[in-house]
Amino acid sequence: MPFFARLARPTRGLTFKFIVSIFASVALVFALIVLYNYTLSKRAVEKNLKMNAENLTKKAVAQIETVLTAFQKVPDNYSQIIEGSDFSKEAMLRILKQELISNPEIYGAALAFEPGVFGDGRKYDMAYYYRNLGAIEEKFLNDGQYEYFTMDWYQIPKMLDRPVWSDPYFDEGAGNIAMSTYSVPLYRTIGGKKRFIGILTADVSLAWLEKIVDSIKVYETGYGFVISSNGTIVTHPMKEMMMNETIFSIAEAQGSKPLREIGRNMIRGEESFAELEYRNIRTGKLSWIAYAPITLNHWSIGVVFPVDEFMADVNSLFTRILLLGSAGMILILTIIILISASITRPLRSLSRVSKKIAEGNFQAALPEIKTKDEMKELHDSFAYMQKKISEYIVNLRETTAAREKIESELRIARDIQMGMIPHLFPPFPNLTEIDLFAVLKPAKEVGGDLYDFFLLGEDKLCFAIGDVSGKGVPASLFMAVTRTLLRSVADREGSPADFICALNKSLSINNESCMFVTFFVGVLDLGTGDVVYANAGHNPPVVVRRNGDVEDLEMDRAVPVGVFEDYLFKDFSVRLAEGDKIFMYTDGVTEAENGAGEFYTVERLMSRLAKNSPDLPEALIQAVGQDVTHHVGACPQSDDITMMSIIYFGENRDALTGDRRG
Amino acid sequence: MKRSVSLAAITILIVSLSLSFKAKPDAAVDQTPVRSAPAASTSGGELRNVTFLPYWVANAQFAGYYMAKELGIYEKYGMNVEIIPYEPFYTTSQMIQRGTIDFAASWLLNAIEMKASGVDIVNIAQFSTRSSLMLLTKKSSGINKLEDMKGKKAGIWTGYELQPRALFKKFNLDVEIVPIGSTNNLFLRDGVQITNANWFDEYHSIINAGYNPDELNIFFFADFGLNLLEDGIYCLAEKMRQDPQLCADFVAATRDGWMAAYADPERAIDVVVAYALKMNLPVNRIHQRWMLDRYRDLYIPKGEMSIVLAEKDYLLAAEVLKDSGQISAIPPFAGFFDPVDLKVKKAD
Repeated sequence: MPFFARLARPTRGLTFKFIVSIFASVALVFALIVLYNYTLSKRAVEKNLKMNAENLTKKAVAQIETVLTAFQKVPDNYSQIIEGSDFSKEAMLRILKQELISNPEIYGAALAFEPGVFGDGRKYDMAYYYRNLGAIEEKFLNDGQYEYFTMDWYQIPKMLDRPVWSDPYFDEGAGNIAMSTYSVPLYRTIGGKKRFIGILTADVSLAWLEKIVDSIKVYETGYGFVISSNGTIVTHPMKEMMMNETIFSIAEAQGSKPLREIGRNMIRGEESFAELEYRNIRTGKLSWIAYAPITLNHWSIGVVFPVDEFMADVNSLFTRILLLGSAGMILILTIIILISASITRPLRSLSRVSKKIAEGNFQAALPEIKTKDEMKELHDSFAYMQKKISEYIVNLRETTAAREKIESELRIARDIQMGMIPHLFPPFPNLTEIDLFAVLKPAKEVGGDLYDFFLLGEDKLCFAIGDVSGKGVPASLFMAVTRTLLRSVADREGSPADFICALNKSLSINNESCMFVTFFVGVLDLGTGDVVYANAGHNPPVVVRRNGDVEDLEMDRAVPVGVFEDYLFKDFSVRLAEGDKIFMYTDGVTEAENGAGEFYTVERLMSRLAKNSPDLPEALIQAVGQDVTHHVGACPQSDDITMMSIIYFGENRDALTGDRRG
Repeated sequence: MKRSVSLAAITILIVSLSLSFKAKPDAAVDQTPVRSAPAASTSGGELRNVTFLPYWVANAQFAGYYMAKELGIYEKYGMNVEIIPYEPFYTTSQMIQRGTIDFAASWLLNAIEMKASGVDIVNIAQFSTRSSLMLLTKKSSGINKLEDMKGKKAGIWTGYELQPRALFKKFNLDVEIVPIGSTNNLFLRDGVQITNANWFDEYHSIINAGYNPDELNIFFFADFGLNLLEDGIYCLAEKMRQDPQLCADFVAATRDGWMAAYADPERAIDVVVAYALKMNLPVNRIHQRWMLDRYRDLYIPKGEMSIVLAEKDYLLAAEVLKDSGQISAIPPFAGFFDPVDLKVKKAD
């Protein structure tokens, strides 16, 4: 199966587990290290950046203020001269023109007076000098066409009592360049009172400001910008912003509250080099902004830092680490796959081979293991197991063959055993005085129970039942001996006790295996129905009377045959009336066990015999046999079961069989 | 600069209207307005040339006129409308040379003054229903109610003192009026504590100079019984008599232009900005958007445009003029308001 197909299996293999656990933990560790590294580098870069931002911004502010101070010096000095002097208007204008000539950085200058300052009754009195093609031009605006009293450049310094830089504006006359006007209120002491007499202005191009601010380059797209005291964009790399937009209108257009807040802080004269984030209007990207006030004119300079660019180094380092890391992860992954494959391949082969072995191919070749590790040990154990199983199977075959042979012999032995006892019924078809039936059902192939019957002369029937101690072949052999001996010791003259004594003597001699047999022998006089019997430790047979009474035969239990050589067994007798039966059995009947370990019991046997008392022997034995089978159920037979029954008809066989079942 | 230029505009309007209209010196001031009758359709014929003079530079406050022109609505009504570019210092003579201005936009106060001075104009449609003029103070100055203005300085545009004066008089407030130019800078730099502002214009400029709305107090004149209405369309009474169809067409087309501007504000702002750039004006889209949105509030507070001037609104403005001595007598309302009949004709 291809590797990936194995991975996709619903039951994940070892390889998958290796990859998931090892690879995942390595990846996690790697990710944590990279993240830590990234955060640390980012912080370092940010710290540096803030320092740079502060330096950059403050440097620009210092540059701008140097220039502004230089500009202011001329009008400031001029106002001081006027204040401390009594120059005529003409002198004042002449000096102004001279100042303009000697200060090329000033584009234009104006003197505008309050109404009637010079006592000439004029309401509007203003002179304006400006450069035009290298020359100084002059313009007098005295006719009220130009209502200067409400102009910002006049009104604001007048009302605020201090010099003021105007908001920037584009001057078309000067070639559409950004300008700002510095307005200084002029005072004179008239009649002991300091009186406001007018405004002096100096127009300066803001080209230098643009130059300073435009020189601020931060990374690729970072830039500087200046806003005026009410937020108007004074310089900006996007020229269309200048004078048209305020930082607040940009904030509104962007819907950016942070930018508005930045703008408010800027016009309040605050400074910050912290990471105030906003969307760069040029690139639309996230940027930082640093700002500081230009205190001289209440403007503010801002520097925009493109976050993605200053983070570029960190990000590229991050990317490289990620790439290297990924390559490393692939390497680790490959190694994991190779290692896990080297483990799982032989395992899978072993698994396949063991399946083959299970299917019976004991010679299936084991995979070759070249390493000398646990896998080799497993392989060797497997090989040892294979060898042992192989040997065991050979052994098992031999044993089985032997057992089968024994079993076959046992079957033969059983046949022989069964052949030794009479098993043809009815046994004496010509004898009308009796009927007889017997069964022997061994627990094993051959059993230790026996029964026998034979005629002694023409009018006596000898019958016997016995149970050899133990079971199986030894018991069956002992039983065969017992049965053979009985036949040899029984004669017409002797009584059953004699037979047993003789038997006992024979069997007790050299009885080294200490086997014994319980034995019951009876002789029935066919003419009279008298039965003489003797017992050697066997269960007492039962007499089933014609009227249904059942009773044990009276007798001594005595001892089994083969135990005491000289034991004297006694005869007992009973008379069977016509229709009476005698029922003999071995303990295999009464001690037949069911699944609960309960015996069939003598009581149940007696009641069964009573219930079936009218039956002929065969039917009676069948009935008991069925009842025992019923009791035992599915439990295996634990002991030989032997039953024999004889009915005495006397002279009335036909009359007696007519009303009997069987 | 803006406001002083605006003053110049009013001057131009008065001068140009006077000069051009005075060709018919006998126009009766109290003439009963003649309802325009269904006139012969001009469809199929040549476009009628029409000139219109706004009282200010290209701004969203005239978005309806620019849109009507840009979208060809005027043409649909059979007119070729020229919007006279507003040029503060040297258009006057051109206007005079051109000889005629068919229609002009004006604030009610200025129009009444003009009428009282003998220029026989009529209001053929009053668009504005609410004054946008307000006084503004900074909360930081502690002026939170009208009474707090006592003894404070108010920066008021030169020529626009009437309405504030009426307010201060009405509430008996001793406020020093400082005439100012067109910027808010004196107010922003605390040279004055109070300033006047149009809701649609200066108010937003101050917001965009870094003041948050919650840092400012607003006093709408309208909220203090001085709802002196603003934009209306004016023409010579004689023009209305002679060609009521043209007047109706101009008003209807302009109204349609406004509705088009409200329906597509971005387009309207594009159009206005294009005109402004053509005139080399500083322009700021966000500000124009604010202006258009406020003009929606001012013109169609109930969703549709009205052209009706109520007599009580007329009288309120006229009384302010009379009380201040600007006019000696109130011209009759009937001779002043002569609305067009918009049912005369619809656009094709």
